[in-house]
Amino acid sequence: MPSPLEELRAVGIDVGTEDARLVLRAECMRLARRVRERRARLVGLAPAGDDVAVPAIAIELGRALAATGITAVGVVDAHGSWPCARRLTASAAAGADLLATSWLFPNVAVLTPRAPRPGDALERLHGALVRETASFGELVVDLTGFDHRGEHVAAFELLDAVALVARCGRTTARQIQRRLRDVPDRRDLGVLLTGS
Amino acid sequence: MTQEQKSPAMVSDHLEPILRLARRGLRFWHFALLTFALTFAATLGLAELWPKQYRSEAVVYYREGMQWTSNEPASGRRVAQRLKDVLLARSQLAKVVEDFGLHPKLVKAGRMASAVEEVRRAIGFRVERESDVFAVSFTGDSPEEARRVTARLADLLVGENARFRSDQAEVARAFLDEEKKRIVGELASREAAQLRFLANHPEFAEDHSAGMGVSLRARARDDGGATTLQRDDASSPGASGTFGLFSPDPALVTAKAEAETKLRAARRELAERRSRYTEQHPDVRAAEAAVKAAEETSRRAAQALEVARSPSAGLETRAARVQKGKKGTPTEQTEGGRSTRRFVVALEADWARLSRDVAEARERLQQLDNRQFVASMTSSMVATGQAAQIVVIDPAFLPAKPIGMTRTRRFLMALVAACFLATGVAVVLALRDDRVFDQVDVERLQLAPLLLEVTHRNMKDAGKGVAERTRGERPGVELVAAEMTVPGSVRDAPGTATASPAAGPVPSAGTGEGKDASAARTPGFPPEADDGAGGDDGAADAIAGAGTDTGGGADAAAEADSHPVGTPAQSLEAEAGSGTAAGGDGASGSAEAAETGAPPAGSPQAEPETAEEDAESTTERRPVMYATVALALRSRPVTQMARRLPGPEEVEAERDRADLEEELVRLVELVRVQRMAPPWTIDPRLLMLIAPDSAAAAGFRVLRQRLSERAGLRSILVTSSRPEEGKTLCAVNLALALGEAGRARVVLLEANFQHPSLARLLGFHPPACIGEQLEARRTRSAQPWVVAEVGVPWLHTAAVTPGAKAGPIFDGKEFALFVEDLREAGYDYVVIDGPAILGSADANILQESVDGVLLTMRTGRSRGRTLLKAVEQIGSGKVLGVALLAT
Repeated sequence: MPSPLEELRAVGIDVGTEDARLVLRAECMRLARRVRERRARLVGLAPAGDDVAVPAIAIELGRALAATGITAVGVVDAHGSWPCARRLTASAAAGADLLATSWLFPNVAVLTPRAPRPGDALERLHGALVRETASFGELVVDLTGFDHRGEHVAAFELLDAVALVARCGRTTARQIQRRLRDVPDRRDLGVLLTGS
Repeated sequence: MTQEQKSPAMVSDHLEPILRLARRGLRFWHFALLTFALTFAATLGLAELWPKQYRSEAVVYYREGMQWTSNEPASGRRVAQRLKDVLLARSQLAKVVEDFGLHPKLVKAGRMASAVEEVRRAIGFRVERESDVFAVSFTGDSPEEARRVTARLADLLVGENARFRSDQAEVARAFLDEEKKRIVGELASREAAQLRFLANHPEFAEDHSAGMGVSLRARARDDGGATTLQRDDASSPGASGTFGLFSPDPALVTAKAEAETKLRAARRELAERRSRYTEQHPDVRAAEAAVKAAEETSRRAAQALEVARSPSAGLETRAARVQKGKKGTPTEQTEGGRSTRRFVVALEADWARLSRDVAEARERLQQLDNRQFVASMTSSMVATGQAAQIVVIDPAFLPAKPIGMTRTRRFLMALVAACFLATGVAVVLALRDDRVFDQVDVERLQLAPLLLEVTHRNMKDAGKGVAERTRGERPGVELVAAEMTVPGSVRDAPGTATASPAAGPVPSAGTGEGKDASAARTPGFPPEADDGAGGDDGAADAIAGAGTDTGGGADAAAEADSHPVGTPAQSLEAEAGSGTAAGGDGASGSAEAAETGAPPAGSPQAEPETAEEDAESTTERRPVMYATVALALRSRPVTQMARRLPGPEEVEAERDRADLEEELVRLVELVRVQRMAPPWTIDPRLLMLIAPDSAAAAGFRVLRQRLSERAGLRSILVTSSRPEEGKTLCAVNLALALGEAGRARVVLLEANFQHPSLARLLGFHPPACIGEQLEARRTRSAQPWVVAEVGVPWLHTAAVTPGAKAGPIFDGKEFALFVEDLREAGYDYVVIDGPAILGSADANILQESVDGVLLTMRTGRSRGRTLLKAVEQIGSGKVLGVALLAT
């Protein structure tokens, strides 16, 4: 039985050392508690810059939400930008859904677009959220790539809460401020600083 | 790790104003550079042309002569000050000016004082600290002049010092001579008075102290004076006989002996000095003076002793009176004693006064003698050159180089001055500049929220995308969804794309092999007549749906040409694209599936039949508007497009289509859509088309989102304070963003009748000028509005024909009706490219018929003052926000 870490590595997501993963998990638990307090079901993780990796955090947050709840949690690669997207799509069961569902853990699944195209990512996300909320208690959405097309503001409107992910030593305060300006106050979960 | 604070204070925030000022100042680099160059050249030129000055210097040494007084020698500072005063004396400098002809202009103008002052400024007098070495310098216009004047000043210093010393000695000696004469006379008179007293009272000749009077008074009191006087005299020290009154005073004897001793010592000293020095030597002279003084003292002591030894009548008389007083009656004795005592006291007082006067006079004479001697010696030393004097130890030299900065230093100074001035100019210009450059400037103006910022970098990125695309593949439009058709509901206008003379070859895929149908599937770019050869074959294939036969493709194109807009061939073309919305009628991706052999998603078995059926079924339908269309400029494989037709969307698409049909029924009653030939090239300012993945396009999408959040916003006026501030660019791209991927129906109106540019930007000739339509609408109100569809199916446009004459007065009422009709026709957004606010009232009229106003401004061009004035003119009530566009 592979460990969760190996599982993540198997799908191309490296969360670093065991210690780093534990720290990340602790932080994600805190964020999950905040999500619960807000009663948010659709949680977005928006990178503050191009050099911020969200997948590992999204999965860990999904695990944290699953651990603190009783329902399954879906982690959505909305833009199809994850390194494991192609692999997951290939391994997922064939279907007509926009997103291919792959179960990483018993209660955490990764939802990857079958044929990702940048032009219709927003529509796809909208459709997926409408459909998948019936299957999952919470959906953690990786919003990587939306800002490149200026659709991140519209994507925020589709979600209940949005957390900004920044990277220590890379992300500048100006980037965070600029991106926070786009996040509506009622959806703002705060900034998740990684890599420290 | 989770942060709550939204705006953390950063250290860099404090530096931001400075950096902003620096960045703003850099925009005036040309002014700064010009200032730098001018200042640098001027400074260097001025330094070269400035009259050169030469400085020469002479070093003098102040040497102290022999010391004859106990006074300390004059300190260096005091001497320096004295020498400086001597050197800078007006009379001295006037002589220098005359001798050397300095400052002739001033001298000729009769301003000698000014000339002297100038010379005084040119003279330098440097003193080393607590030293006797001084440097005298002079700065002149030529090396020779500097040297000569400096030498003259040094000589002047030497000569003046010597003359000063000599005069001083002479004056002192003359004064002392006069003083001595007076003192000698006074001494003589006092001695004469004393001698007269002694002649009258010889008994005082032996008096040597005040004890004499005391003893006399005591004896006179006790026993009439005689006994006491005798006893006291006998017991007094120095008494040598039974009656001491006539014995010589021991003090006088002692004084005489001491004087003789001193005289001998002085003579010995003199002899010794004479053996060692000449007669002129000061030591010898001093010894001679000491001998003379000792001789005088000895002589006086001898005289006094002589006087004291000689008997006098006064003393005898006194003694007799004392003896006589011893023998009288008691009463007589008492009276006599009293009068005697009074007499003795008076005598004693007189004697004391006379003695004191004489002593004082002698003492003063002694001092005067000493001073006279010193003065005499000093004068002698000055005359012989042994007194304090000034020696030139380093004569004036001929300067080889002018004074002042060296060439390198001048260069550096000019550089620094030029940099400083250039920076100052840049800073001042930056501070005075009220142009808008970035978000901070907009926020400072407090006009409205900044909704869009297209930076210069974004524009560059977009331009780069265009360049790359131009190198790689030609721009084209890709149809990704099927059309919506309304049976027999559209009145196609004449002069459509098919008949347009501007209809050139359709932009095809980069390969030109006809394998990629994406470029040919131009929803706004209808098929046109061509010869069916070359790369256009691929387009024709795609249009025909067969995809393999070149000739067939040409036929299909020809067939399409024979139909007005929306013919079955056109429908087939659209359906062959991919058609998410048209999936319900079974047309999804059939043509491409046939071409590629890959089964499309949703209906894998029905492709060839569906295509044919659809082609047949659409013969009676006329397309008017696409429901869901996405524009992509990158060529993509047909198979990929085919996969983008999800089956489950069919139901929703059908429902949407039904709704749309209803709206279109209304639309056709009010608006006539005329499809125009697409332009050969797409203007690079159409960022949403030319670079949809660029940051600039993303900015317009954000703007779209911002505007869509506002409820009830359907008509937007895009305007600016002045012309050429990005109104048309913003309006077109905003309209494209609003309708992107068919998410909304948008019509773009041009209301800038004075400076129309929309038609030129979109690259088409308007089928009906909007100005003419407004004019015609007054007389024929039933005539539908004509809008054009140029290339992009979700954007309709009503523009001003280039070159059309604008009416003198803008008809706001008709325009408002136009906008209202467009709304009624079902357009989700009416975007109006308006005129500039300042300079006319058109924008004010237009804003009455819109829901909101978007103010555009150009970075580096729009000025804060004009923006404020513009907002003041239109009022801030309807201003939605501000769009900042890079130049």
